[in-house]
Amino acid sequence: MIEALSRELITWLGYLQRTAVLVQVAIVVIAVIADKKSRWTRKVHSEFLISVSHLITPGLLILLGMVMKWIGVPGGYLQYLALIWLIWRLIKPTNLLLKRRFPKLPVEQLDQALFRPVLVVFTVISFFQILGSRESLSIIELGEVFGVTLTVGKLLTAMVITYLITAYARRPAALVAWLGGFFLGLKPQRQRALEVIVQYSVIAIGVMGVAYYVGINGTALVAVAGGLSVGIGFGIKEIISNFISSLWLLFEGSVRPGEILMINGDPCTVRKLGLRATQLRRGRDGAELLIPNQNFFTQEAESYTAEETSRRDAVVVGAAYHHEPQRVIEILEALAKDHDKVLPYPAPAAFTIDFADSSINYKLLFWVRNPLEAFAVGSDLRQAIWTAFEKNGIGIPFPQRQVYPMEWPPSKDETLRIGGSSSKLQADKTESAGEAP
Amino acid sequence: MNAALNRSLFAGLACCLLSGCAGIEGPAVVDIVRTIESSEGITSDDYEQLTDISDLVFRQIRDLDPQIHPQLTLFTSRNFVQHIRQRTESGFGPDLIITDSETALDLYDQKLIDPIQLTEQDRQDTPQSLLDLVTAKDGALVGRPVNQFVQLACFNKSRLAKPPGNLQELAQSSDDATFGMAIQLKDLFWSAEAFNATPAFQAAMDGSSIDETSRARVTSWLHWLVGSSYQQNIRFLNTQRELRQGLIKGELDWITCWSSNLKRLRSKMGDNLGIAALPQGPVQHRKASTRLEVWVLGRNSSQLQRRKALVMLKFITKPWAQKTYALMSASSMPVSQKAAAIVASKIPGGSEALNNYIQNDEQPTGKVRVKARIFRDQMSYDTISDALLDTIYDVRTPKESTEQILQDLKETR
Repeated sequence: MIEALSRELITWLGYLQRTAVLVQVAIVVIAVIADKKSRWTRKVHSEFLISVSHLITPGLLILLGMVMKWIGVPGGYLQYLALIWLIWRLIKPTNLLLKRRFPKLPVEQLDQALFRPVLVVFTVISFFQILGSRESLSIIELGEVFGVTLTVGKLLTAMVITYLITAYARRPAALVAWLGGFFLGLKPQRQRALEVIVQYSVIAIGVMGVAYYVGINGTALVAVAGGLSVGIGFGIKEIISNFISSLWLLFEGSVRPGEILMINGDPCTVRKLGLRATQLRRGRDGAELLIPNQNFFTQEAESYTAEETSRRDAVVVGAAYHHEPQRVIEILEALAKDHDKVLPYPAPAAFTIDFADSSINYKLLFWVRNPLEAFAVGSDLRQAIWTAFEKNGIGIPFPQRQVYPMEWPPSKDETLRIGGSSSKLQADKTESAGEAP
Repeated sequence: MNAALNRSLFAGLACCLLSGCAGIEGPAVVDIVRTIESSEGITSDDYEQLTDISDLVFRQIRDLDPQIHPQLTLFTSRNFVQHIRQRTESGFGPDLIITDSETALDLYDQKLIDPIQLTEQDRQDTPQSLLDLVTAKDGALVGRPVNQFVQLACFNKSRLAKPPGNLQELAQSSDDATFGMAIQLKDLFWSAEAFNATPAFQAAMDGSSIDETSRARVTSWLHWLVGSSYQQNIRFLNTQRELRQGLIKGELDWITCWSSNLKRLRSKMGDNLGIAALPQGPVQHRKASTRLEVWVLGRNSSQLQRRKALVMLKFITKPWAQKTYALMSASSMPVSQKAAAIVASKIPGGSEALNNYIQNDEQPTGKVRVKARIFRDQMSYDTISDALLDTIYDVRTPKESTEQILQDLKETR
């Protein structure tokens, strides 16, 4: 491998003996320096116009290269370098234009996941192509993998294809899921589950295809599986367990993106079912939770969306003993029925649940469609109860505690006075004492 | 190995440092590109096939001039001209190109190579018929012929005990064995010569009258092609590579092949590979069909690189080098007449190829062989190629194709 690489390197060094090559490189270097130092764009305030103005120098270089070729002087390398420069500089105005024309398009994501990676690959391949080394570099042997000779070309192609498959498998998967929803009437949650299943299926098929492209045959893959089985026994049991759990959960459909689960008493929305862990968003504080899949597989989980999404919640309130419970219950039920987000069926219901120390306690049970809204609806109802009780003269009693400072050990007179029928509160005593001349 | 690499890298670096001083006779990297016939891209096997001889050649050249650092890269013939154009326009064109005469002429037509000047002594040592094949219409010598590969018949000894000696035997044997030929003019031209169809081509290109006998020979040749295409066990495939693969896989028992591919075939077929001369046609005098290996000068070389490339060119055409490398490869005939006489008996088809030198002596001076005229003129080549396809695919009758070929050759004159 080193010998082959050095052969190419020496050939490239040989090109530096040529005046034509040196002149082209020099022109590009001078143009880059001049472009960096140019200040005339400072007067332009539009970001788009500034980005477009950056295309002028490479554009002029391309024209210069054309002129050189026209007069019979090698100018192709100059044109090539300028073209690559131009293409890279085109990214920014293109992004700005796309953002302006299609505000909903994930331009930055496209830029990072598509434009730039494709350009990097294009730049590398075309650079070696123009030097005449692409084919000879691609057949450099790196070593043997499962009896297959791995070359630079095969490895790079495999990497690019694998990247494209993993990065873009979601697009066809989303299309399939959408078609499933359109034609089969799948609910959004099932669509998302289908999307994930298709996505990983595409990735799995793609990776196997890449393995076959490289030359690794079925026997070798079986050997890999055999090796993995030993590895699973020792080190990667957890990873495989999580992986298998994720597949199982996907097919079972019990944990799907969009599902609402109770995690440690907090409702959380499943955002993404990964191969190792499930990503959830906690409704209380928006924290992202990453929970290994096998937890869902081996432990009980509380779901509000497994079959239906409605959730029942309760508000507990106390009313003074002297109010008639039937009247209080009517008020509570009427309040719940008036709330927009409380479901009419099952109808809200209030119950007397306790004769407490200072109040009769009631529980108002109500259903909401979206479990994540239960907290807010409970808050609304509590406020409404306070207002309605105030309006109807219903008091909400609460225990009161009064504190008296005492001497220790208490004097005999004080003890007798407090225990007597004409005793007064300490405060009164203090007040009287204060008033004494 | 590491020391050698370090030396090479150091030399390369030194080359760069000296690049501004064209007058100084320093080290020079000579970029050499060689074409090989392959439709599936270059593999490391292709390099290994050439390693033995090319390494020896380069080592001996460096013994002669240690300042030369030859770097060989292989390319497929497909899109080769376009590839060289792209590199030449960028300043990265190779210093030397090793290819066949047709590609060399094509490169010259597109102004991608520089012509070569030969000394009188060099001209005398190389048959004029070979120089004709690399002489452009404007009279420029586009490359230096170095080797020639002979067209032969390759067959599977385990399936075919005796190869057909003439075209009649080929037709009869096709009941028992499967025969393959490539449907390219350069691979089928031997059959045109076997029917002596070339004088009619020559007359058409000269614009002189064509007698009925010559015309009838062309028709006979085309009749034979049509008749062969009708036979169940004679198959026409697109390329030589497909033919070789068919022979290796056992799908074909006999194919036309070139001596340049014998090493590869032998490595796959072992002792089952049989080699014979091509079947003889109605013409009793058998001619060898050869393909030239030509060394061509690129256009982007610095003065130093050009000087070193010429040193290499001079070295490789020395009778001693020609003899040594031809015997080593055992697949190519040297172009040097002196060397050819020595090695002819050792090379498959070499004795027939040697006749070309003798014929060349009989050839009137300045009279370019018809094959060279057809092969160096793309329009003439395409005219006959198209007519061949039309005939084999029954678009035209042999008679109609004959008239078409001769008419078109007259017009392209």
